[in-house]
Amino acid sequence: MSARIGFLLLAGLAAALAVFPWVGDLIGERFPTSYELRLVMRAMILGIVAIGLNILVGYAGLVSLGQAALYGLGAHVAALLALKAGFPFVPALVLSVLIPAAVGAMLAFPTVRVRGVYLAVITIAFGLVFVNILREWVSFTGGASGLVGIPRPTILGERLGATRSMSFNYYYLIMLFLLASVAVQAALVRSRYGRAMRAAAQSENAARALGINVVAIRTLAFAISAGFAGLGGGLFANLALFVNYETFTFTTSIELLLMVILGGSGTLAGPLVGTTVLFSSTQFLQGLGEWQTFGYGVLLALVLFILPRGIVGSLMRRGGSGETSRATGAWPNWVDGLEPVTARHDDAGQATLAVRGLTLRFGGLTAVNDVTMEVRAGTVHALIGPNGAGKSSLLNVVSGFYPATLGTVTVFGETAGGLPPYVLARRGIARTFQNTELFGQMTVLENVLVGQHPHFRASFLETVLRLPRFRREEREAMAEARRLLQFVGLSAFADDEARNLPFGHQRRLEIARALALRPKLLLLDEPAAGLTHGEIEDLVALIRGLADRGMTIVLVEHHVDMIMAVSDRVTVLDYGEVIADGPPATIQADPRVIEAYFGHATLPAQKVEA
Amino acid sequence: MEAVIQYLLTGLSAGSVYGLIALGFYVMWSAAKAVNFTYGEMFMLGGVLTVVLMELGLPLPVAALTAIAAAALAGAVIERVFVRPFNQESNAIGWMLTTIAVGIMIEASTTATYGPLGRPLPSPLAEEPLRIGGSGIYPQELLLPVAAILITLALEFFYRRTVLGRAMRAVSFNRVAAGLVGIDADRITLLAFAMAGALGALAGFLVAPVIQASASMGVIVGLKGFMVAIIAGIANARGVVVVGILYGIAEKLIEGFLSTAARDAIGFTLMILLLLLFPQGLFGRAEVRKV
Amino acid sequence: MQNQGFSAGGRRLLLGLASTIALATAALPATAQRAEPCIGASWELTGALSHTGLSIRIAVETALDEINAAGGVLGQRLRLVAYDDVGEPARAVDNARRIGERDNCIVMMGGFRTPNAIALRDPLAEMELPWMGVISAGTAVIEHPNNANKWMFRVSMKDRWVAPFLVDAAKSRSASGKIALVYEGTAWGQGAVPDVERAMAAANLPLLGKETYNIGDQDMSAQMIRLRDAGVDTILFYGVDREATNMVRSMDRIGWKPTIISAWGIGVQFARTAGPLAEGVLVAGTYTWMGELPPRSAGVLQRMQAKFPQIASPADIPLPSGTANAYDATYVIAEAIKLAGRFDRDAFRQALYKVNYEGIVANYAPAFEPRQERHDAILPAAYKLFAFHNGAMLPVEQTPFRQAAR
Repeated sequence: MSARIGFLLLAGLAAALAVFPWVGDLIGERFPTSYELRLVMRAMILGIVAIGLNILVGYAGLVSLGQAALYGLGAHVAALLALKAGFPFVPALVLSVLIPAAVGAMLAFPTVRVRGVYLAVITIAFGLVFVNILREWVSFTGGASGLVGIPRPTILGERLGATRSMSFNYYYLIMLFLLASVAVQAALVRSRYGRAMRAAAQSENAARALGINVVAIRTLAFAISAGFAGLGGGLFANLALFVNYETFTFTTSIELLLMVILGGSGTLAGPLVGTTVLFSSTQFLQGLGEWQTFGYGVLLALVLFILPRGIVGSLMRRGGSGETSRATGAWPNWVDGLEPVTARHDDAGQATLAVRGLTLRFGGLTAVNDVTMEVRAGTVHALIGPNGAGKSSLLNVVSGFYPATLGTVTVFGETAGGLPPYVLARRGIARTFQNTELFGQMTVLENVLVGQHPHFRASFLETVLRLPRFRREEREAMAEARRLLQFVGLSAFADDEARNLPFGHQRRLEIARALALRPKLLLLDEPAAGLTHGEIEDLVALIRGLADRGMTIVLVEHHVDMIMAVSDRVTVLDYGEVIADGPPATIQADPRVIEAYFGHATLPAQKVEA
Repeated sequence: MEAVIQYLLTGLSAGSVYGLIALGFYVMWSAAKAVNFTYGEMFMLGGVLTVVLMELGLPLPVAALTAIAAAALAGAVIERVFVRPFNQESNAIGWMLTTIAVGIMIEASTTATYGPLGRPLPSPLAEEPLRIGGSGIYPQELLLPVAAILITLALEFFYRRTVLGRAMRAVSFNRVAAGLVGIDADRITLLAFAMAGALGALAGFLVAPVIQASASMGVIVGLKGFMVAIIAGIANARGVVVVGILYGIAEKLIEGFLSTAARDAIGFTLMILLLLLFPQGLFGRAEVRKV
Repeated sequence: MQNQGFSAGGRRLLLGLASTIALATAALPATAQRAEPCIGASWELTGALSHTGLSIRIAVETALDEINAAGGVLGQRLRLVAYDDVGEPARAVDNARRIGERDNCIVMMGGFRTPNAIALRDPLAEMELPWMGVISAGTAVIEHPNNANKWMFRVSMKDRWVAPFLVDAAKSRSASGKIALVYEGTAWGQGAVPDVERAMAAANLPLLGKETYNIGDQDMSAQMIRLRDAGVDTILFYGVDREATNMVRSMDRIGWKPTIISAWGIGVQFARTAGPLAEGVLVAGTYTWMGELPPRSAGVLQRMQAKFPQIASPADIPLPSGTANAYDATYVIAEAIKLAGRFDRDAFRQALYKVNYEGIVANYAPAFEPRQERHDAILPAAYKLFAFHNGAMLPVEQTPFRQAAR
């Protein structure tokens, strides 16, 4: 769904909402009465909460079945402040956003340890605990009776309400908040924050390796979604002027999730569509009498079976482009403007990466045993060995994914031991993975943009408000990303989803993405695996070209030809230990190496086919 | 002191219910890495269906067995229709929501037809309590821990000594590999869900004489049973039963010494904390994920 | 207001004045506007409390049939427009707005849950829609802060009056004077606590314990042990059938059988689920349809059973007091409309204070008085005590428990 169509639809919705209270004047009927008006206002409020949940579930991929508790928290904060502390409307509303946001941030902590259904269960439990507290803390929350008689909100002396005498001002206020929420969601999603959330959801490891602090971004997602929920709650409390725990039960959490999914989780328009459809359905379902809850369950099941991508998601799917043959560019394509990526000015000859006495054990298995290795700046250093020799494990330690059991790792002169991958990435270590870890559901261009994540300087506020600095950075990042795509010959595929690329192209993309980080040290984990002969030649040219321009590259590979053609130095591992280390020609003739690979001491030099 | 004995006794019976439910989750999770969020409703059906069938004239044992069989069938149908198609992606949302939907449908249709009120399920073992000092327990309630232990032992025997059981364990370790050696993993999973359904209904039938059979008796029990299974690490049968019983006792102690009103709040918070401290469960094994 | 200088304040004043005039002129026709000859209702018709909705509905529809057969009110048929709120306050508010503005009924009836009624306070006042409760007994439903209640009325028990009634019954039956309270963790249960405390103080008795439980709890042994060990021999109970059954089972486990005097949350289902353990449990209420009935009530019961086949016997009326209250309430409403002379809400409200009517629960003379406390039609003198005996809920005089056990 193109942005323009989306914008038009949104404008249409806004116009319809704006006109709604006055329909009665136009058609001469008593419509809408306060009953219908309040229904629409409640629907708008739920839309705000759904937008927040969409960010969490649809973009950050975190399932929360306790969102109603945050919604309820916002409502109770607003109610209590107004009722018991005499807070005016605006400060109470602000706090009804901030306090749930803080609590939401705390909910992110469990995601460090548990995922998927375990996380969902924690959120369910959180919701139940919250309801229990609301119901039993009689003196504070009014217990099961709730808080009644909340004073009517006023702004600067103007009473807010949904009646004609007040010009429906509260109705329009809620509408304003709804439109603002839509804008904030769009701004967030189309920025590095949205990209980082999606990246962390689709491949946590790759996200980490690109400098994304996954815990921080998840905390942000939780906090933002809780903020939206709290806003909805605060607005609700000032609408109903009565709150009790029953509005905020597990059932409500399910309804909210259903709204997001029905509309299309992970789409911008989804939450609004889902809220509208579900809200109307619920009104219709009430007509089923005893069977209304049953009908609701049927609706939920139907949505999941027929429209798992939701309404908007299914529509977008259909609008996807067909298979047209696209021109794959030649690579490496040294276009202008790549200097920020490729130029490195380290002291040549100094050690970029130094590993001393490194040992890595998993329980009883020693993957890496007392390895010492030095990689000099601006060189290509190959790491080879039979399968299971510990090459990838070594890479994982260097890039921070496994903590070393013994020994030290020094990168750019500083100790790197114990640092998490995203910190090392920000220091300039980029890597690719043995199994390409692309962000499959993001476009090719977006994948590269994620690589640029650490380079953005615009603050959160600047991003959400789309201030000039944000716009400038996005523009520049886009330009650089496109240059990188040109570099790897994938310009024509920029808007395709990464998972739809042929395998070789995926490899190219992964490299482009890693380069977007502007690394000083590039770790390539079997980049040639699965590539055709021609592609390998291109890869060799790319690696050589980067190294000539000053980048330090560590290459884990099996293709002996490629190693010989491209490396300055080779380290050979076998059973986790270094058995040889030196220039390629020496290694090729080393009997220990030959024995490790082929099992006996001598072998005529042969071309090993891929 | 008497009070503590009472808490232990009632905690034992309530905890055994949680343990039995958790056992069902264990059986399902091992086979499919997915569970049935309607599971509480299987429990409910065990009690409610037995009552209904008895009202239609069937004698107790026949009614109970029919109810259990029906729940087994329901478990299998739910796996086939609502869980299997949604278990492909790594995202758990699919089967979670579909089974929640089915749970809603089962409970709603039961409330609409059977009514919201509870009905008694008469049993000779629930008439006179056994008194131990100032505390007491209905013999019916003692059936529960006994059932839990027997079933655990039976399951362990089943898994270790029978071909079918070993096939199930194979599927739980590595589905693809099991398929490669000729095990029909799909059918095994179906069987697992059916077994679990029967287990849940059995628990419901055993406890209904004490707490009456009502349409809503399964909701919170199902949820607590699942949490117990997860806290225990859902990895071994004894573990989940033990944790279930301990949780039942803990609930009673909280009620007795801290607060009845806040029992669930405290209990769930405890569970959350335990899960955070032991993300793989108390008896689970930590998985090292290959990068 | 704020000191913002004349211009801002003056402008606001003018605006306020203008809108008040506009509102007044717009409102004038509204109050003189006809209301429809319908009784709106928000009841628990489906869900976990559907048995309460049923109890009310059978009475109201039967009463309306009778009233309409006798010519209706002011020459019109009085209709019922009943909405379901599934026991949720938010839905009750929605329904109230529908009734008040869309259907424009002259009066709205309430249902079982106290929070639903409390949530309606502001909307009803805003719409100037009269409301008639028939079950929800929470004191706060009718007695609003600052004596502000103008539109909410009730033909049912009032917890503040129920408490002394229960305490009285307890006092005369407790050998040791050791009385405690057990209540459910809902608005109704929690709201009863201050009422009971006040009544005990007025009777010069200490309340030896206050135990609560959650809806759905299956075992109350912890609470029962505490009370038993405190030497309590009589319990005042605020809860409903299911938990009451689990409570007496808990008592049975620990071998303790105190006298139980319950507010009227317990209905006839209790006898079925508690079996022999129900014997001797006392319940306050306004009516029972079991046992010997006066002729008029017998006729009503007959007509209810004819219209609603699921009521095969009086044991199938889940909340007997509620049914009787609702029957009387419908007639009180009809009388008030007749006295008002027109379908106008405010006139109807004023007329309520003039209704004199002999109902099956009580003789209402008058039904209401123009002060908040007397927006309750049933006075404590009409409260009755029932006892479970041989599986039936009978007036205590018709059972072996009529005498205080000493």
